[in-house]
Amino acid sequence: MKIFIIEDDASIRKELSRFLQKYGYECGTDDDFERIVEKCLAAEPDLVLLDLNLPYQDGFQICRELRRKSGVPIIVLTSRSSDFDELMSLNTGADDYITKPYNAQVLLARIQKLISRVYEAQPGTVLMHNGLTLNLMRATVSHGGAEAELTKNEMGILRLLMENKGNIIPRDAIIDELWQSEEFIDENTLNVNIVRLRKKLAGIGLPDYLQTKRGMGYCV
Amino acid sequence: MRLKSYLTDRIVSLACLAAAASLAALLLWLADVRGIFILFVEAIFCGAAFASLVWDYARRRAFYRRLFELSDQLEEKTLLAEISEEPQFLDGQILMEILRRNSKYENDRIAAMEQKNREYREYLDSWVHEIKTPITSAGLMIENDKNRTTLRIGDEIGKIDALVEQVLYYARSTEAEKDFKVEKTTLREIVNLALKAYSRPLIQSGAKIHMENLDIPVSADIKSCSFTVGQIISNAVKYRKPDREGTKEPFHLTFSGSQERNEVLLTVQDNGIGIPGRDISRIFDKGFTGENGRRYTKSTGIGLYLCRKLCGQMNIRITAESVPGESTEITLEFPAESMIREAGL
Repeated sequence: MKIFIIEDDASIRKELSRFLQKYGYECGTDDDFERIVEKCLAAEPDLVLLDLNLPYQDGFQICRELRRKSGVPIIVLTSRSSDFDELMSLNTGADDYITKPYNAQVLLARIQKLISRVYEAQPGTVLMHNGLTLNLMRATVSHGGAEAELTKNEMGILRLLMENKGNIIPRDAIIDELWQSEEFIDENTLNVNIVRLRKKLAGIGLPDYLQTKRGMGYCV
Repeated sequence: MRLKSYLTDRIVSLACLAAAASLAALLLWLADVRGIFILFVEAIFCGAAFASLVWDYARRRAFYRRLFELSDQLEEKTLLAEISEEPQFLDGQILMEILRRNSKYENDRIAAMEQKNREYREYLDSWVHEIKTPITSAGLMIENDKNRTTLRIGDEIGKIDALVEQVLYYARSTEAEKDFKVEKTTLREIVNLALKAYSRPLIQSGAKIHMENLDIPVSADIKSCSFTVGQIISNAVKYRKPDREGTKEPFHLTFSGSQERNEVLLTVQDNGIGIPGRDISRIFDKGFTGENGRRYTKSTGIGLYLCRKLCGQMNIRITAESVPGESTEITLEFPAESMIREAGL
């Protein structure tokens, strides 16, 4: 799947591309804003992320022009947070609208949802590290031939650790990750979830996969 | 204009008139004029003076009465001189000319201030949007490389974001009419959004979140309401009981909903240090910091002020109760769905 990012801030362009590439999306971008519509269409993307404040012409114009020439799904990402902008975006043909600063995981979820709806293809997003495969769509982990099903919280924890493999993730960051999916758990619940997750990993033959770094956090 | 004050104002000319009349009467009497003639002359004299006084009083009273009425009816009082009729007496005309010059000066100044204010607000608005770009890009960098250092930086970015949000709401609160996007939602949705925004400080303070009966539907502006709840949460975190070794009592934060006949209540209760009795009536005042604000943490006195202002604009009543040393309870009263339906909105 190819995503084209129309955004004038070079730093956001770079970081957003890096983030999406981690999830297996191919990213295209360009800084020739005079002819950005042609450049975008030439890249034949499967989805477009569009900022509204741009040089030469604003996002609404680009959105309208893209829509005239192509049915590609468009998500507007903008720091303009007024209802007018939201309405205007949807009226000019955008499929979704997210205001900055956005949570990257929320953005990812919206991209996945839109892609699976438009292309009727399940984004088979899997994370792999050290012989463990985490399937984000089916909420399962597998190692060798063995497979185990995860709960929502367990998958959230493991996904965060696997995305940042090698890094130590503090406990509060893990709790925060679960809060962002509206599971307002406290430390004790995290402990229970970690114990259960370890047990499941041990069950498929990876007993020491999830390491505790005393006083610092967890790491895979 | 009262007759008495008018006559007091004319006291010197009345005295002169009286003196002149008496002197004339005396002169005529000395000239051996018959008493009946003296009376006749005096009557003409005083009658003419009296008639001119009445006429003058009447035109002045009529003019000033109309001016007062006009001033009461007028919304933009500085435009009074523009629409008032011209007085028919000299001192009135002079004063009117002065008033006109004065008003023009005032109106010009007001227009200049409004212009400046508008430009300032536009700048602030665009600044808020500009600053969101680096906040977003820093957030993405952290997302791409989560480790202990970047996550700490992320906490600070979260604080910046909350402060920027406050600036935005402050700027909006000074606008005369603010558009709210009222939609059907539930108390839970509002609370969840606020909890997500303040997740880091809450988690780091070891908060235990309790939610009771939050699936009550309300019609409200979700963003503004969750901003309000966020300010309440931020205060609860700031004024929780200090974590002393051994005596630590966990920080509990309870959100509970209840449905009354005409309103839906959302109560946020903490087990913090509470608010002293003499401060509680003023916590929603602009710039009020109170004892807690001085003693525990620096406070700007803006957060709760904005809450009350926003809530006022959205027809939500916000009230606070507290047991000092034990708990604080902030309640939002949303108009109930049935009420809104009855009002035909």
